[in-house]
Amino acid sequence: MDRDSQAFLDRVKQAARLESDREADEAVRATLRSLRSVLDADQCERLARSLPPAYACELASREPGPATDIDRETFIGRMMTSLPTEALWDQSLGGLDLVSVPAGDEAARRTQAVFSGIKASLDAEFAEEIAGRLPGDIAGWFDKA
Amino acid sequence: MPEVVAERRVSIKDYDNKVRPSWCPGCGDFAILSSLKKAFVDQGIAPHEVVVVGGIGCGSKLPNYLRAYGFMTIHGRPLPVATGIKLANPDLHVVVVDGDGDGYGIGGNHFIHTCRRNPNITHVVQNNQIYALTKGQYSPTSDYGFVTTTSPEGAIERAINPTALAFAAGATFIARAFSGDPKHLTEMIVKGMQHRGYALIDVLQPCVTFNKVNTYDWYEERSYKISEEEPGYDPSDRDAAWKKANEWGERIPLGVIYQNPEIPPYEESVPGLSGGSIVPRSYEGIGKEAFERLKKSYM
Repeated sequence: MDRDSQAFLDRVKQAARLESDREADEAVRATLRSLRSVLDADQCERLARSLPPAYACELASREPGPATDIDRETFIGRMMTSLPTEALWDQSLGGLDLVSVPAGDEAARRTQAVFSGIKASLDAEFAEEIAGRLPGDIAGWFDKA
Repeated sequence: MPEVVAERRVSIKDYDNKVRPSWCPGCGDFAILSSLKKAFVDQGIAPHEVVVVGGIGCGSKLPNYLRAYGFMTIHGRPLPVATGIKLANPDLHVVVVDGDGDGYGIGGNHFIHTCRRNPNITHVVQNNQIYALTKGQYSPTSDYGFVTTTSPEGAIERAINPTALAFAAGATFIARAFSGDPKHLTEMIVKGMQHRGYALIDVLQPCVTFNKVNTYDWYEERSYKISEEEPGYDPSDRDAAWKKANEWGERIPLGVIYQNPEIPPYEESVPGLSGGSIVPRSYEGIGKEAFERLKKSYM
C-alpha cells in the first residue's frame, strides 16, 4: 500500500479505535461502496480524486446514471455485513439478534470514523454537497465527523 | 414507471404506526417496508383499503409495522388466507409479505396453487436465501454448498428458482427487485398491484446477520435491470420470459420477467361470487334458521 493510503487507513483505524488494518480497510471500503450508491457519477469521480489511490478505485467503477435514494439501514448494510454478528446458538428475540444491536452501534462508529478521514481531504463546499446526498441520520454522522 | 396519480391526499405518515421494527440494523426489510408504503401512497390507496398478510419469519413481521389492516398467519399459510380475504372482499388491496422460507419452503404447495388460481393479490417475497428468524439455517433458495448451522459442510440440496417455478405453475405476473434499489422496488410493487391477478415480486434482500455470502455487494455486482439492458424485451413473450425466469448466478435480471393480462382473476370465475362480493351481502337471504344451523356446525 502506498504511503498516502496507509496514512488514510491509520487515521480511520485510530478514529474507530480498531485493532487491525484489515478491519479499518473493510470499514473504508464498505462506506465508500455505500457512498457510491448515493452519489452521482460526477460526484463519485470528484470524491475519488480526493482519496488515496488504494481507495479511489472503490468509486471509479460507478456507472453513469442517477444516484439511488436509500435509507439509513441500506447505507449501513454493507458495514453490518463486515461485522461479526453471530454469537450463541439461540438468542431469540423475535428475529432481533442480541449481537446485531451492538453491531449496529459499532457500524455507526466505524462509519463516522471513515467519514472523518474522508472529510479531512475535502473542501467545505464539497463536504456539504455530499452531506446533502446522505440519508437523514447518516448526514448527521457526516456533519459530526 | 406507470403513470400513477394519487387522486386523494395520502401520505407516508398515514401508514406510520410508530412501532419500531425489530429487524437487525442494516436489514433489507427496512427498504421493503418503506417501498411498500410508497407504492400505496403513489397509487392514492388509503390505509383502510389495504390488508397486508404475513406468515412467520423476519419479513413476515411487516404487518406490525404499518398502519393498515394486517393478518399474521401460521408458518407458510399467508397465501390461502389472503385468497380468502380477497374472495370475501375483492374491493380490498391484498398484499402478502413473507420470506423465502415461508413462501417457497413451508408454504411451497400454496405458492404453486396460488400461481395457477390467479387471485388478484400481490405477493412480495423477501428472499434473503436463508431462514433468518430461526438464526440462520439454509432455505429453499440457498445456493448449493452454502454453509449454515444446518449445513456445516455446505448445502447438499440444489436451490429452487422461484421465478421459473412460478412460470411453470402458471403465474400471470412475475417480477424481481432488489432492496438496495428502493425506487425500482416501489415501481415493481406498483406494477404488481396494478396487474389483475396473482403477482409475484421476488425481492433480493440481504440478511446482514446470518448471510455473509449473498450481500448487498453480491447482489449489486450480479443484478441488472432488464429495461436498461434489453429495452425491447417483451414480458408477454413466453419463450423469452422462460429464458429470463431461469437466469440466475453470474447474471440476475431485475424487472418484470413475465406478464399475461389475458387470464381473469380467480375471484371473477367463482360462481358463488357472480352476485358480488360476500362482505356487503345481508343475512336476509339465508334466513335465521339456516344461519343458526351454520353457527352450530362450528361449535
